[in-house]
Amino acid sequence: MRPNQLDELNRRDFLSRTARTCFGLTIGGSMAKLFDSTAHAADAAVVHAGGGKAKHVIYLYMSGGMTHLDTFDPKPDAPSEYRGPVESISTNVDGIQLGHCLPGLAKHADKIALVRSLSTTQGAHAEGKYLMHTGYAPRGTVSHPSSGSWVAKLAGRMNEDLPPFVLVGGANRHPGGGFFEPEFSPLPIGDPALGLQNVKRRPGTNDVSFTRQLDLRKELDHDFDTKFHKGQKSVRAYNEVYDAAVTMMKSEDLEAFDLSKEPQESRAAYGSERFGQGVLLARRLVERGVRFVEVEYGGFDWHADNFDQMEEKIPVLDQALSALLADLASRGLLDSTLVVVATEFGRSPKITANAGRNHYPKAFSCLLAGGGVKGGQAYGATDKTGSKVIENPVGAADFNASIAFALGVPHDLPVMSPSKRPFKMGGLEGKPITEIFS
Amino acid sequence: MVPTRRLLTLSLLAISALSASSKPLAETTVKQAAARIDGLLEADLRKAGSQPNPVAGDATFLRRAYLGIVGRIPSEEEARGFLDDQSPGKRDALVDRLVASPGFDSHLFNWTADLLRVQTRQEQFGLGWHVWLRQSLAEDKPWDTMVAEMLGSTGHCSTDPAVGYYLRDRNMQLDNFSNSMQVFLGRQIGCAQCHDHPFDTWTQFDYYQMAAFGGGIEYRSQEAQDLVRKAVKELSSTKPGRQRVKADGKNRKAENKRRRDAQRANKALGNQLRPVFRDFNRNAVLDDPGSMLRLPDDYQYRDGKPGEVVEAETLFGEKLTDVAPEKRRESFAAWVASPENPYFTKVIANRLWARTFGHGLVDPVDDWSEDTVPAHPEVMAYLETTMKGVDYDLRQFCRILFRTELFERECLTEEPAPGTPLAFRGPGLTRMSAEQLHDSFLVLTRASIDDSPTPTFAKSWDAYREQIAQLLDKETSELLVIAESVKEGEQLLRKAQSGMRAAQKQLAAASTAGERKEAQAAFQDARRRFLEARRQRYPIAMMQMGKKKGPKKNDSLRASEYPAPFNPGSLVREFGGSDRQTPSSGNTDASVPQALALLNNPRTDIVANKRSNLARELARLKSPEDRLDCLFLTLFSQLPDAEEKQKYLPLAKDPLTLRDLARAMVTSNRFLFIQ
Repeated sequence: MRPNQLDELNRRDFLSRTARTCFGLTIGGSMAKLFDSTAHAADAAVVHAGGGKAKHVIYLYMSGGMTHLDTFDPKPDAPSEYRGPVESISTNVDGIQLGHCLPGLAKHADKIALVRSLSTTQGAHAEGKYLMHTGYAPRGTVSHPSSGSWVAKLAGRMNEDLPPFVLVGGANRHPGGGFFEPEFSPLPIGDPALGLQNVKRRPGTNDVSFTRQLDLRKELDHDFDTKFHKGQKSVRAYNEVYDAAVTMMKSEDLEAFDLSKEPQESRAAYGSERFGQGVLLARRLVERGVRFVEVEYGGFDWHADNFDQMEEKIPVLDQALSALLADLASRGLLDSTLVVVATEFGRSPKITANAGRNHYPKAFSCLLAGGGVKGGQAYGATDKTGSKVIENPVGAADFNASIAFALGVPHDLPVMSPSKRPFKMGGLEGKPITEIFS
Repeated sequence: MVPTRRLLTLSLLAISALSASSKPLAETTVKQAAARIDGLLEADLRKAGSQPNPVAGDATFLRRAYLGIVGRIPSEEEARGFLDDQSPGKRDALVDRLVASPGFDSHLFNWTADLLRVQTRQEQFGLGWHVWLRQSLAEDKPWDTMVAEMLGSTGHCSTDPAVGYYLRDRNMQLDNFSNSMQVFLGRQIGCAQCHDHPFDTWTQFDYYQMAAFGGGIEYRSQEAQDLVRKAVKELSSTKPGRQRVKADGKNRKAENKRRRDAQRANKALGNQLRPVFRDFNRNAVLDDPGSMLRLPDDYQYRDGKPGEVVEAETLFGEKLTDVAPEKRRESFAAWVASPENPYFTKVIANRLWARTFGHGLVDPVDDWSEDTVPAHPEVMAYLETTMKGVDYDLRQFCRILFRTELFERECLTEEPAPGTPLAFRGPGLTRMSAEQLHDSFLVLTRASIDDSPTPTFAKSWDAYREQIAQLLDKETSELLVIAESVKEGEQLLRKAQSGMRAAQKQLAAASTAGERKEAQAAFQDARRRFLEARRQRYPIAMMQMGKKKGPKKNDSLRASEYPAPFNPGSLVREFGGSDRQTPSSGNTDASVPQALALLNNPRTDIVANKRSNLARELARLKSPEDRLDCLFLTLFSQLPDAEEKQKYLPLAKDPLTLRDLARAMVTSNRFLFIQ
């Protein structure tokens, strides 16, 4: 697809094209169809380079800035004022070590690519989160879409009934769909245990009543909509979410949101915390054809007591992430699902007087797995104290371009904002890390 | 620190001077100030070849006034009263009455607490800060005083609850500083924390110079330190063998050894006692004059060396240099919350403008720079004068805004384009905030709601302060008992931690489902013990356990009366209620769960809920006309017009179709949006 073309395409037309390329003409139908079809319209060159295998993304976001030294990039030989009490443990891949709070992940190292050379210049939370999610630094004049919304827009829906992008446990300031039209905004789930609430009609409400209620809503709003629908995106958004809600209420795939349908054993496997349950929910959702599920895990901002906090939080990540990798692999979904662990920045290598670590955007780590990523590797490297990237630096835009690459969607396709300026999933000049794909 | 009261005139008006003593403002003053805003605005619009929107009808105004001023829709009775009122000054009278009511405080509290990120349940200070803020707003504490009190706060939260402002970001003073600049002065300089600002003049060094005003902040209590010292002294003085020995020859060695032993013993005693104040310390701030901010270890510019001490200095407005270390924070507080500060007054005035009219004269409201040009610059300048003129009284300032003709005009049909100055021909169209929606549902279920605050939080806070007073009064022997329990908690914590690690290893090594299950159970068990033991390390929190900290399960309170933030998945959060993580994080974005909540949640089904006032009222009314009127007045604050009457009257005859109509109204955009 040539630059600028996308915006001119009518949405339905775009979706149906995507649909035809993906599934013949059966969309949202049987589960089997969802998974034995090859990836959507991926560029031949991308496929040749190893990309385009992923159809879904599970994006785990460690909010607050996850310490890199104590997790994905341990430094056993660094002086103790950098290393602290963290031990490096071996994994099932020679030469790759992890912090001692990740013994579960260590058993799955053959499935993951650690990216140890992230580097940005955004050392404040809001700006860093925005950059990692959108590939752009924040500006007052435009709100950029996050990677999930880009994927929703560029890859299209797989299941017509379900939203293409679900955000579990997201903070209020998530960039969401940015300047895109409302249909690409994430569907937020606050508490995975509650799932999608209020999906059943109220007791004693039959078809006739419910339909009447919906018709009356439109009628009551007739004048209001005539006045505001065209000029106000928020009004359009409400009309769209009502349509989407009603469609979803009828969908057989709705139980994807219901964790109580999951065997007790698998619920336990992901861990009882909200985050673990969110990751399990993500798996259920991608199984039903949701493109992109982001699960946020907050509270990584450890300016004090870094190591106590680490003992509390990292095991939760370890359990959920290793359960997810094992689960996806055993269901044959790992090749079609890109798993991402991302954060806004790392933590300062030298331990502070409060046994804490401060913000550190100069060098940090993220993780990619599945979806065509070659497992068992560490891409990029930092120096012996984790202070500086010394090999293959990766920026936020590159990282998002890599997600696009895995899915086979164009990271450099300009999409116009309402003010007619071009923006791309891969940011200004992001380049995918093609080396990590097999 | 309270700045001196100023006497500033609304000079452009050449009316009598205002001062704190003339509150509430005289009617003529308010009228003239509001007219001045309208005059400037209209002149500006005319210049641009545009004109203001027509004045909106009574019903639109009524709904906008209730939601905008007291944060909820009017009840049927209130709506009827206003619509039936034929007096010419009824709009002004309504505004004045609402502005003076406790509902105004509740609504403004939600907004301010969101701006400041107050989390009621954060440690123990969260509650105190919450109560302090609520009270400050209710008693019309001027904004500059409030800000100066927060920025200048020090000590333990039980004596200075405004210290919550710093404790909110405990151990994150640089983040707190960046937030202060953004919240109070509208300057976004956070990125200069790590590097020179890419498109502003701020350098990293500038950032550190400003941040250096907070360089002495430490997160612990002087009081606690003194108490421990006192207790140690008391304990060691009761020990035998303290008689002075003459230091001659042979005895000197023994004396030195004795002294060393005593020192060692005192140190051990201190270590034993200090944990008693562990959570006391977590709720206090002190200023250490000897502590200075240093450049970061990776500092890369030529104007400084990594680790070098940075002197506090202001970079715009009044120049502060050579500030004595013990005066740093006090000086900074006075510098920020000053009418001389080039941003302070404008920023709060513009924020309140945006709150009233849906969009800022400068928008985004927190991204000012030296060359910011507001929409309608004369209006912005006049707002600044007005804010100073009313002596930073937020209630009176808001009153003036609500009394403008702009507030009466029909709203804009087009959404504002980001980054482009907006021509204010009318107010913006806004969606009800989550709190407005919550409180409006309260009106539907309870008809007349009491806008006055419940005393629950204030009572809990008093109880806490009492407890702190008791702790500070305890005998040393009692402190030792507490210390023992804390120590036990410490040991349990370590044990649970190693249990967790062992279980994790076991889990990773498990190969059968049975083994996995066993390891998971062991992990969960150790984790539970870990969390419990962690609590035991905090004696004050332990003492408080089981005590009521907030309202009981009660869904009949206004949103401002609950601990914040609301839980994820709650109705308020589904509708974008603030998570209190970033300044003003409450949002009004549409989402599918919101539609589902209004379509299907039994709690929003006010007509089928037999206990709801609206349902009772509809059941009581005999004629379909009355029922239809009641529905329209309650939900849309207006009577149905002729066409609507004709269309919907048949539905009002049958309870079932009436129910469907009412449900449809609750889901309508007309209900959810404020025109």
